[in-house]
Amino acid sequence: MTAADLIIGLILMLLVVAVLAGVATYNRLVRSRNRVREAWSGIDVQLRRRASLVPNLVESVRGYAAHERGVFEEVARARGALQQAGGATAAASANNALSQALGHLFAVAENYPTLRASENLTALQRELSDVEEKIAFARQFYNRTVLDYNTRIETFPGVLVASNLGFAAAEFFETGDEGRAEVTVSFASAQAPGPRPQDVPPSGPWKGPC
Amino acid sequence: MFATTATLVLLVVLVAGIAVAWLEMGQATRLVLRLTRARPVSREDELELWRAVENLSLAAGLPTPKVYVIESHDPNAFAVGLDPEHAAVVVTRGLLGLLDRRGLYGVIAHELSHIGNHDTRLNTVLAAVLAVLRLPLGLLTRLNRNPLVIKGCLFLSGLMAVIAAMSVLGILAEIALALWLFSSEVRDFLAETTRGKVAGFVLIGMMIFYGPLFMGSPFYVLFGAQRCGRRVGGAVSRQREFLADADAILLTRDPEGLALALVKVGAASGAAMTLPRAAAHLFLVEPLLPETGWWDRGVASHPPLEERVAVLARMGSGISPEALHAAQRAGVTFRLEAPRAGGSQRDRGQRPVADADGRNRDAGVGTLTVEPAQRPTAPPERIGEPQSPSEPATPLLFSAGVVSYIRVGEQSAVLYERPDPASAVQARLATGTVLALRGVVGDFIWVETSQGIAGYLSRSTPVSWGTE
Repeated sequence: MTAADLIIGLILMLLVVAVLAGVATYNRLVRSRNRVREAWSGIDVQLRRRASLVPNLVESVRGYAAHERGVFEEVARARGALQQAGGATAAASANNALSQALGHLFAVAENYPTLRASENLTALQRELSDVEEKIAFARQFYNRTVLDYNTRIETFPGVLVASNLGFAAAEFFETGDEGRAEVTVSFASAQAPGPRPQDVPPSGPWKGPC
Repeated sequence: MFATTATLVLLVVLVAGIAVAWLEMGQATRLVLRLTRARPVSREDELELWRAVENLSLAAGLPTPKVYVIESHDPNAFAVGLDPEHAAVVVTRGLLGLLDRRGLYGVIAHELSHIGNHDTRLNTVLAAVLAVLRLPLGLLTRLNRNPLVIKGCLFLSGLMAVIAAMSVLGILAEIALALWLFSSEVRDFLAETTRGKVAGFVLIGMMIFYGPLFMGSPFYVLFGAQRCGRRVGGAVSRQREFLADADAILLTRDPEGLALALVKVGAASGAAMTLPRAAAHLFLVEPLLPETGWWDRGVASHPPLEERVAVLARMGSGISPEALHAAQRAGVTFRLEAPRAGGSQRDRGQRPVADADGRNRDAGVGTLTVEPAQRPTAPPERIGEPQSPSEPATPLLFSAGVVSYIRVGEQSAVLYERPDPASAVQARLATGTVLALRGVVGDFIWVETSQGIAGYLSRSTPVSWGTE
């Protein structure tokens, strides 16, 4: 065995190690991305549930205040926007718009004491607040997985592989400040400076957050 | 022929062992739930609890576990399950009554973190194994309520184990002596014939392994095994509790909420639960179990509550002593309002400690003469703030003696060894003796004197009580 053999052997070994490390990094990134997708489905389910509550809510108010067209249209528009929203950022802003529209709807409902006292409306309101709470909690998990994933594709072993293999940064699900005082955590604000996730435009029909 | 039979027997034993272990694994969750008398509750019946579990499992990214309730006044909680997909969260009725939403969220987040960290798998299996390991002792204590008999059995089995150990030592000494005296003959025998070699090793091996095994097994089966198991379980669980606390804070972002809940639960843990000791390490805080005897003492399954609260306080911005004291007071009040064992539910919340003859009926927290009952130190201004390294971590004065005390009324009182008027009398207490309150067990108050003698007072003893 000569010195040349030894060097060739070493280089081969290094190559094998590098390939193995690359495979491991790739697999980790895929796992991480799948976790983000799964976490997103947790929010998505609740957003859908929220959107599906809206027609019943509108119907129960319409029975008393049919002339408040503007409010109903606003709510319907916001609901449609939420159902079509592509990307976490878009979904978040559509969800905030729906919150605002629902605020107007409830303001209208306030003017009708019989409506306010109706069993149907209070039940719907209870369910709606349950959904909103769940969105907030699911958001916490989602943003944590996004933070984890984004960190992974921006830091050392991942960054070598990520851009070449099409791992794009995922979007955080951020809520507006209005009427969301009960949300305690914002992972987004705790994040280090870097490309803001909402700057990434959603490309094509949206299938998931990444 | 002999060899095949032996191999067969060995195989059968092996397969049976694996089968038993496998069955135990599969049944562990159910066994633990049955042992603790937990029953499932529907979402409609316990909406708040269910919603806390649903919301926090969303935040933790776990599938929603099943929800169970134990009908016990003692506030506590635990999680079981071999994996997150088949997990269950169990809380007691007392916990639901004691904690507000904030505390409940903290506790549920702690339990969900146990599930997420896969602590429940180990804990559940351990609980099931411990339950099996404790069967002999449990059978003994159940068959025979006389502590003398139990102590006698333990003593005899212990004696056997000691004799076994000594006999092994003796045999080893003899072998050493033989080797030294007849070294050439022994060496020849061992070295020259293969048969001699094998015989020598087998003989020594059997003496060393089977002697104590046979002689010591009663002791091990009765006492050693379950105690070792609990020690291991305790050691593991103590570390995991801190981790689960920290992870719970990640979910709720409210260290104070969990800390105050722990203080409340710690102060309120008093009504001894009817729980098998095998499940003790599962719980949120160490459950108080009825005293059985010395063989069950001295194995803590949880880290001291003070430590956990101090760690939590350091995670947030500290907790004010007022909040801590309010939480303690709430816990103690809750404990003293425990329904009497066997009493009707209507008694709940109506019964101060000493009211057998209408005396002290309106005694309540803070209404009695203030007597500083041997307070060790004053609480620090704000716990959790960095302290100078020379100062030891300040304990949070959980000991019930600081939280509340009991003073013997006009007549002298009798301190029993066990919560049973037929048990031995430990001491007679003069009027005015101040006692630290440790808990309420059925119709008895579990107290400790300033000399450190613990015992049980009948609830009908005229006493006055208060906090601080």
